[in-house]
Amino acid sequence: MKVEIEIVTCEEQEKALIKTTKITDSITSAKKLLESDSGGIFVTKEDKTYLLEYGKIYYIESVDNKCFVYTKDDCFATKYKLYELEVMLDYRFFRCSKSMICNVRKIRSVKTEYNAKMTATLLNDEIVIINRSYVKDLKKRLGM
Amino acid sequence: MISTGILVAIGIDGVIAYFQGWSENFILEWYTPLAIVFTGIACALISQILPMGMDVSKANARVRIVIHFLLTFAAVSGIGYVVHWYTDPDGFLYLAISFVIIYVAVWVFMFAIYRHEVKLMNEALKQLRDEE
Repeated sequence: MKVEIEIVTCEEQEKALIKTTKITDSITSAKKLLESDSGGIFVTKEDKTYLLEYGKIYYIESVDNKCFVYTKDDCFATKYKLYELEVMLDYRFFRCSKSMICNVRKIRSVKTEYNAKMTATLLNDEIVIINRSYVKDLKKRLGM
Repeated sequence: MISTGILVAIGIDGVIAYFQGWSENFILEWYTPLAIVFTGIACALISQILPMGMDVSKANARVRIVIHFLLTFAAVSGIGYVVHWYTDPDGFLYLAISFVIIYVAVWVFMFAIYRHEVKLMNEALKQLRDEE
């Protein structure tokens, strides 16, 4: 298969396009490899520590100075502070409010509320608030 | 936004005066631009005092909108009184009607902008989101 690589200016523009006549095992492996996360964060739950891939994280919330990492249907604690996570996490994540970081790839849709604030419905049907002052950041992540 | 609306209203007023042949009566005082700026600052301060947080319920938000409307109207009519935007009850009525039109227009304009923004964002999200 002919492989072409084009250098783009920012991570948001990174994209792999595979043109194939049929989906083979190699294509599936290549897809998984490309989609796999290069990073993760250490989280804890019931005295056990796990390495949670970035791709599994839906959002991270800070409550009473403690950070909680939410996946599709689970919640973990992490020792990191929200501002530390903001630096650690990659381009998929953005600050959506003072106490929350959200994975843009887990957002199903956004909506403007009656009070002019924005809410995002995630793929697991949870709703998170996007403060208007952070909408600019989200738009940047969306390439707008 | 409200100060921009006032500027638009004065502009329209001027155009109407011109076509009605009253343009010689349409005089802008030296302090009018400054008065518009002060009105804008006063309205912005009121909006800051009455933020619409997510903790605000729908009913509470309606009350806040009414309070916001009354306070901004008080600011506009107060400044208007000082800078002689009206001098008699008819003038006050004209100012009040103009203010209501501007206030509603600002809300409609903001709503249209947000709606368009959300539409574009949802289209962009379709391309980006993970499959689950």
